[in-house]
Amino acid sequence: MAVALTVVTPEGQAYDEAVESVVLPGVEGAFGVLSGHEVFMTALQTGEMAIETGTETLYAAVSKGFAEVHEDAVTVMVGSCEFAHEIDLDRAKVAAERAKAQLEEMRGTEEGEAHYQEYQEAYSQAVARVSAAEHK
Amino acid sequence: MPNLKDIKRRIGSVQNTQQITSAMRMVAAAKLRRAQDAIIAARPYAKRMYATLGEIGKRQKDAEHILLQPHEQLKVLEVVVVTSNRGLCGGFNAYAIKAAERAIKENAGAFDEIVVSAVGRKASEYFSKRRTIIKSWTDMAAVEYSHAVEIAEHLTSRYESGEIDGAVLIYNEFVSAMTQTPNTDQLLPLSVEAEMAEAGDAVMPFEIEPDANALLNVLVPQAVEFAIYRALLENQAGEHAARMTAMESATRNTEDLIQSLTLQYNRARQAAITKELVEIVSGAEAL
Repeated sequence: MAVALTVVTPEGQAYDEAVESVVLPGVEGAFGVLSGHEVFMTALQTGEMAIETGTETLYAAVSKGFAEVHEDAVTVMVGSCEFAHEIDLDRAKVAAERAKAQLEEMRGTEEGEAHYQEYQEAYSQAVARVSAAEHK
Repeated sequence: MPNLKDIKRRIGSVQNTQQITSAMRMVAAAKLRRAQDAIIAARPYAKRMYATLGEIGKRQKDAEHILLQPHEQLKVLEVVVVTSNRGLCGGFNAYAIKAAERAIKENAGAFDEIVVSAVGRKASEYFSKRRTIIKSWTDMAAVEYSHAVEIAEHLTSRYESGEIDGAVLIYNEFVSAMTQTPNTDQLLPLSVEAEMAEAGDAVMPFEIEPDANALLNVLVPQAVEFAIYRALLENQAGEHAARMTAMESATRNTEDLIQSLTLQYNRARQAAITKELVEIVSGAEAL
């Protein structure tokens, strides 16, 4: 049994295929969806998405959003979705280092506290990209 | 009588201009197509997001989010004006700026102070001389979602901290290749009533995890980002459409100009020949 997976971002439809299963980064931890899953809706945090197509496993870095799970269909709405093959691992690593340094640097300063979430978000996005790219 | 050489030189220079305007028209047409594709690509996302937002708003009547709550005292309003970075697109930017001035005037009574943020060089240049500009974004070449996120973060953090008590977004909406109309959208506090009405009465059989408010925390900022993203896309498509129209009429004008100059040139040429003939004939008669 297959699950119809649709990933939509503001820049267009990123993925639309029937897959075996998909693992998504929910706000309360990652969860997997197989065919016949309970119908529910949840918020997603920035992280890694793993798609099992039956022949291979695809990894992608997704940003915040939410997912609608039906019995045999999953709709994922996220701000961005980058598949592993689209990510340059070396550059992603550099970006992650930079985001980390920025996060550490801003911690404690007044401005840093005010924008802490933004830096945190940038950092987790960079980490997600690295980990998706490493699975290539 | 105008000099033959001068006329010829002018024809040459008008022809050069014509080449430029017609090339710009074609470039704008190609970019317009791409910009329209981007608008179409964003539609499924918009549909889904508003449907979910409406659904949650319906189910959770007491749903609260800081970006949905109007402030009690209205002190500062931030007006975000979206224009293009470049000119040569007819009245396109002037319309948006005029709409912004109108919005400022209309809201002057309700708010103590009105500040402006500019997206695009044209708005930034105009308002930097006339009003307090909080922030301007002028280095966004092609529209990306991350640009919208940046602008949204600027506005929402200011709204949350109470620095501003409202935000409106002004941009040109792309209606068709011939028409772009300036639009004024209320951005903050965000209103989801329209979406709720559209969602209909049917309640989707959903379990929401962890709960509706957590989902709202993701959805509402996303809705703000998307509203800005959409404005940027509309502005981009509108700019290229306006430039295409402007350049088309410019090309037509150069054609008219070349025609009348050629007429002048031929007249001058004929006059010169006639003059020479008269001189020869009268010279022969004199012998």
